[in-house]
Amino acid sequence: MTAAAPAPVIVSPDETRKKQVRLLFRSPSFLTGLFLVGIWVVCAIFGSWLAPYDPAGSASDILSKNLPPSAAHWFGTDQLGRDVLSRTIAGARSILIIAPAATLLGTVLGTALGLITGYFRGLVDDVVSRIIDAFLSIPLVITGLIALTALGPSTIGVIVVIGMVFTPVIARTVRAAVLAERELEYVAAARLRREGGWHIMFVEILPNVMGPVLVEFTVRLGYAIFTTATLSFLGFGVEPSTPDWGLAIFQHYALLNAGIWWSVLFPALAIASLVVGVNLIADSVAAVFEQ
Amino acid sequence: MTTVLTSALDVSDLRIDYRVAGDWLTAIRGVTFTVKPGESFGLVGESGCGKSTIAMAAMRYLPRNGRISGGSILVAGRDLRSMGEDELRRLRIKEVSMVYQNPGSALNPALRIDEQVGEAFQLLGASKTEARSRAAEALRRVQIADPARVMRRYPHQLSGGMQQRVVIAMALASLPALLILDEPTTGLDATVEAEVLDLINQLRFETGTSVLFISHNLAVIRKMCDRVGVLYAGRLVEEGPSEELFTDPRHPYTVGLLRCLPQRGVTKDRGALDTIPGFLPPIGAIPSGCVFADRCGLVQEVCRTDEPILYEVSSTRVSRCHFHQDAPSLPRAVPAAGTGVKPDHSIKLVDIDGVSKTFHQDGHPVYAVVDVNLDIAEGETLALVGESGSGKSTLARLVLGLSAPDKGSVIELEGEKLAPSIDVRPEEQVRAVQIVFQNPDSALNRRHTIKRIIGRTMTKLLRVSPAERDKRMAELLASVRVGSQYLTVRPRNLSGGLKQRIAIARAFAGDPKLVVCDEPTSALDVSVQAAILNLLARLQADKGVAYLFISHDLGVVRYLADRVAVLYLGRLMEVGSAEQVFGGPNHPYTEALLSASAEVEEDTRIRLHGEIPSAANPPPGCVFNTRCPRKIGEICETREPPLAEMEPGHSIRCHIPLEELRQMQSSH
Repeated sequence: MTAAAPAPVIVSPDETRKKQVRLLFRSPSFLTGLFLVGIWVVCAIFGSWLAPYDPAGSASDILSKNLPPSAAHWFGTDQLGRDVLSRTIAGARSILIIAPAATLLGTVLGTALGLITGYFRGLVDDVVSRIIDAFLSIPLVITGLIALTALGPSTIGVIVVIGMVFTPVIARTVRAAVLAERELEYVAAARLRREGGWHIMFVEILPNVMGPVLVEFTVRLGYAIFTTATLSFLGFGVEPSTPDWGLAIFQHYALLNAGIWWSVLFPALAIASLVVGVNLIADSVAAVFEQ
Repeated sequence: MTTVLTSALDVSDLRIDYRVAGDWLTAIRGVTFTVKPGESFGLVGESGCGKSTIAMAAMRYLPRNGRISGGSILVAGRDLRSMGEDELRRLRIKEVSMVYQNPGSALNPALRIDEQVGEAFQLLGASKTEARSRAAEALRRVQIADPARVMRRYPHQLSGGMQQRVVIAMALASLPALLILDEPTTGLDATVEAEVLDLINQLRFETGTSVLFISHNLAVIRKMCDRVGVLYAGRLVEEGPSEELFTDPRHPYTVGLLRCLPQRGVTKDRGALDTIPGFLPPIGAIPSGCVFADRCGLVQEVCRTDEPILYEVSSTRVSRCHFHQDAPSLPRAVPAAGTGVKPDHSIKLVDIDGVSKTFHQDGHPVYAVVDVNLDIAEGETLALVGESGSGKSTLARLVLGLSAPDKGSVIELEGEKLAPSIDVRPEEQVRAVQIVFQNPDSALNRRHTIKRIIGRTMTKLLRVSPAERDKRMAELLASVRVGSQYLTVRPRNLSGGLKQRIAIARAFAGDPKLVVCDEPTSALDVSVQAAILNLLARLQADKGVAYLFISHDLGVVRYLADRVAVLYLGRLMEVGSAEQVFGGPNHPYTEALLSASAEVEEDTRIRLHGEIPSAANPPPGCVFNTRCPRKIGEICETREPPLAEMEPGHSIRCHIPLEELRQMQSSH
């Protein structure tokens, strides 16, 4: 018991959310994460203006291919003579569309599934939970690869596959939160005024499990970035000519033996910094919203 | 130790701050008191007054956002504030021990009892085998009958009362100079509480240890302590010998607290409970005058400008009030008149006929409610009492339709059968039966505004237009004395009392005929409890609603109930009017419950030993025979007595004839 005062202080209804946001903006790791992610978001939106060269423009003469970093090309040029800096900047776009969209899809589906299994329990829960368990026992990338082979690679395909792969993971977290919530008496009170199951799940319980959902979203976003990059590295991502970090590493890693490191290192650093940035944000969000 | 200590705990001019959102706020100011060797000192006050903060400080266990910013704490003559980590650790091993409210979280769930209790002795230097034998001895000392069996168990395999005994055994391992008990019995049943309190008293007598006893429960403090300090908003407002202080309080806050408790002989129709108006000032608020001035009925100009000193009331007592002589004449905060309404028991509203509920746990039947027959008249309060696990809440859930009774059970409302599940009951019946839950924090959706909580209930139950709904909502909130400015607020921004008023308003939103009240005041402070009980009594008188009132607090039941039903292991053991049940003669179980409530004097009470048996495997014969202090012989173990009407309206399930019961129970 702390010395909390039970005085009826009237505060604006969203006081607690505001307080949480204020706490977030005071956390150094959140601000660092926000800075890192912010850079890449700016690159994704304004890439074409920021890039010093045309990211798609390849050089015609052999002399400007695979140039090391220099004043003219800070990150060097790749095997087609394209500016690595420009391609790294432009590459932020595809990953920052695919990863959040996939995570959002996974979160929405996972939350719905978690609510249904957690609220109804019984047979629905047993069947769905066992399917989820089976699903989770296969490594994520393998599942993704199999699905993408079946679907054929495309941006939408990648989004759907990553989203589907995340769904059971998120469903499990949400289900655990719902199991605790459904025993609270406000749920019984709703039943006593004869609310239907859907109302109880989505209007009564859902707002109370948004904390874990938000945390799960940010954590999954980090994984999604990593998975997107992995899939394009394996050749299951975007079209080969689009600037993309995973793809760039795939296309150039064979040249590492020849001492041409810059066309691999800079896209790799880009992936790493984005993942670290998202994870820093995820950690601070978890600290604030999960008490 | 060769020197004779003058005090076990010496707190002087103590000041404690908490850091809240970056600012240091003062929670405890200038608190001074002494616990003498062998003495038991009580700290009382409502939640938020700083009781636990002082206890934590006496162990130097303040949370990271807390600090001692002034004064001194001496434990066994040594200054706690100047100690290093090592010295503190040795002090906690040897000199001071603490028992917390919740034994379940004080024990490590992964360690068996022998390891945990043994650890306490190993810390004192005993070898592993020696520690084990001393642990068994320690368990025997806290009256655990079969230490060898208990020592092999894990904490979750023990009941709450048993767990608390284990914690106490560990706390006393080092024969500490000071034992701090922070609400040690608050989570326990009254019967178990009584046993644990007896045990603490006996151990104190045996070991001579000093005790700092912290509780919000005035009756418990009165029984357990030699001296008492009353805390209000981080200030010690009154201190003195406990008997004197409780019979002749000299601070308006103490007077007010005592008046909030239901008094013997006062029932809802004959008198309203007094309350303390207003709210505790928020932490860190330092008023220029007396901390209690805003809520005090005796307040004068001087109280708002000059903070009173601790006036000496007598050589042993102090009170922080300018007008401590006048404190006993504190004017009432609410008029003394009761509702004046006595319900007519002849108009039957609810008929519970042969109701049973069997749960199935891993294929084994668990008999939660067994063949209960009860009726509730219009506008009357039927109280359900019994220990936890007696089936009170299960029975209430059956009436509400939240779970379905066994086949053959009949529950009727106004002569119409109630469907077993709420989902198939006609709207009229759904409206008619509602509930006020124990804990408003979990009963109100924390993401919804008050307007939504109440409005939605009205829309669903009454199917009214938005305009009509708003009109009714305003009337309803006025009737539970909640201002309309709270409509847009979410529950977490309300005090406990206001939250419970909202929960009551929700229960009344559809004009119910029966409201189940499941321990509606047990999560609240006494002053708030009094206001809520007054509100329930008045609403009942105004609207003619009947209550099925579940409570473990017999003082509250005595005040509010018209009739009382006593449940044990899902069976009805006794039912009668409140006068009959509180006047006796009683079923031996009821007798034990009555004597466990702390107001009864020591020598006249009977005690229940052992634990409530499992409902999956109830004892044969009378289910109470394993614990019955009045067991007469073999018949109790072989034949279950019928629930017999011993006098008009008063039924008891016991083999002992009424006259014999009367004799037994009046002989002490």
